[in-house]
Amino acid sequence: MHAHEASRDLSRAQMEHSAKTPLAKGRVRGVGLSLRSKHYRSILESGADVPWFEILADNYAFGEGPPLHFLERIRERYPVVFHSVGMSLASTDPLNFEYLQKMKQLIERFQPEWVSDHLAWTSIDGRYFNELLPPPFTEESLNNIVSNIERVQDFLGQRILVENASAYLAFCSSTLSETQFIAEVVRRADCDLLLDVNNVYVNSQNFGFDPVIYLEAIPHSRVRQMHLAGYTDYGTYLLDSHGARVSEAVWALYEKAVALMPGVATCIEWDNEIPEFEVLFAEMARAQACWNRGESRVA
Amino acid sequence: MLHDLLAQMGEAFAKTPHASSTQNRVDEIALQKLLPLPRLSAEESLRVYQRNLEGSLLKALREIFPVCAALVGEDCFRTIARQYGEAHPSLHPDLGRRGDAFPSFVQMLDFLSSVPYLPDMARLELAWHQAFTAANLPPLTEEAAKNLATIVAQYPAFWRFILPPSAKCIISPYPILQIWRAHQRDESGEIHLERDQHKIESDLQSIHFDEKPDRLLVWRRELALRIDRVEPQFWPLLTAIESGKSIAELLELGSETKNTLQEEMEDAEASDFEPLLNWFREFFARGWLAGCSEIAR
Ligand SMILES: [Fe+2]
Repeated sequence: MHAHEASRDLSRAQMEHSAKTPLAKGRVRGVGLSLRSKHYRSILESGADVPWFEILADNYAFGEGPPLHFLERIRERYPVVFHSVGMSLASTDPLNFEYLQKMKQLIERFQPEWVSDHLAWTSIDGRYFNELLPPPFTEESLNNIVSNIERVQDFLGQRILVENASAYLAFCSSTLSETQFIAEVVRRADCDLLLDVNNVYVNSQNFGFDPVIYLEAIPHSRVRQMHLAGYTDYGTYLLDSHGARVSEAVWALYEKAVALMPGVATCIEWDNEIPEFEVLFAEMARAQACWNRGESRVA
Repeated sequence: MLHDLLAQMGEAFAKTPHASSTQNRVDEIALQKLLPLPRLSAEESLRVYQRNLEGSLLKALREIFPVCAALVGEDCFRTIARQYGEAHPSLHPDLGRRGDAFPSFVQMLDFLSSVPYLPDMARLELAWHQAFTAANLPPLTEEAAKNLATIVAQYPAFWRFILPPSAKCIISPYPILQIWRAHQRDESGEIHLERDQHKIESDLQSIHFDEKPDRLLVWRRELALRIDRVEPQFWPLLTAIESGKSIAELLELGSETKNTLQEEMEDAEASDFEPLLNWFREFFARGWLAGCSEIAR
């Protein structure tokens, strides 16, 4: 507002939150869904039987109003995890602490079971691209991202999860494979992993590697969450579009993943051309059946 | 150096796909850093990112300005979005702020002179978008208003009213509210994009352009977004509150406004014009007043 403004504010009493959001007690387990504003009402009205939701924290960090109202109602009923896209961990820019502070406030308010972002950069020289861009797999890039993850973890006071991103290019300068890079990030930064099974498949097709060997190569004990999503086939490459059902090839890969890493919480991401809630729910049920098979094998 | 590599790639990604030869230098530098993939040349890799970035900006703008997008059509909106993206790179991680400079940007584009109401429509849509996530500050309660009146009346020069944080006054010589409404599905505020160009044209033909200017207040009451029409006699006062004028200044303005309006208004409304005190009651009743704040001395 205005610089000459108010030392005293008669409306302040009304602005303060009357009470803290009551939080659902359950833990994040099994297969959940990524929450979309389009589904707020159907979830709340039907009391949808979803074990937990993943929240795209960036959509709630910068304002109030209906989004926060609905997030409060959701959080009263369901456990949640936070996912974010703005940390720009692989960038050489200084971390954006204004952004991280907003995240921290949101974390304190909604108490997600964990927080994740990506092995990617979204900004450089202060310019934001609002797109997850791949880093080169080099020693310098590794040191850079490790130091950023460490500082984010220090600031948030918790270990974070980092997600393997999809990519459509290869840097000449890369000296490590993607899985070597990931394993080193996790080891040096002491962080956890969010394994996006669709991204593994998309990259395996775009780069020509065996996705099962990829799954075998990553540090299994660090994988705390998985993502499933749909891609779009553009003929010469697959695009991680999050705008379709999970493909049969990715379902098959997910079976392999749950066999190698049983019991890892998984969610379906769908944020373009978002369908009716029932469609998402059916995808969730299918994933839950896979997840159960992984669990029963262990038992 | 990692920084240089990312900066060069960022610059190349942000270019329009298949841009003219003047931009090839940027592409060339980026291409030197890339290897081909099994089914994708380095150049095609670069295009994928250029298209993705363009697509995400277009999507963000279309979500904030659906009516503007419908009014100018897909191709034109894409052209505007490209130029906007180049002129106004995003400097904030919040995608919700991506359209903040869009209304003033479209105002400067000569090729849009055939849709002169577009900048005002963009302002209306931006205000609507911003009101959605604005801070919560409920309208004054009756009791709070009474307490407030006694304090404020003693020192009117040191106090000012505050509107809800979501509130934005918008004036246009065009019937933007009517055009905007023609593009909504229902009163709940859910946007419905009319993809059928003929439908839009026929809607526009039914709109009367000889109406008086639109004076609008976009704001949010609790969870409900609203656009209120503001009567001409209230406009100077409401915009003065919005710009942070003290209550003493409002009182002065109020008496001036009253005189001018009485001269100008030839119909029965003139005689209905109520004394100044009434506007406070009226604004309060409509929920337009969220409080008062002290002006630093
Ligand atoms: Fe993902």
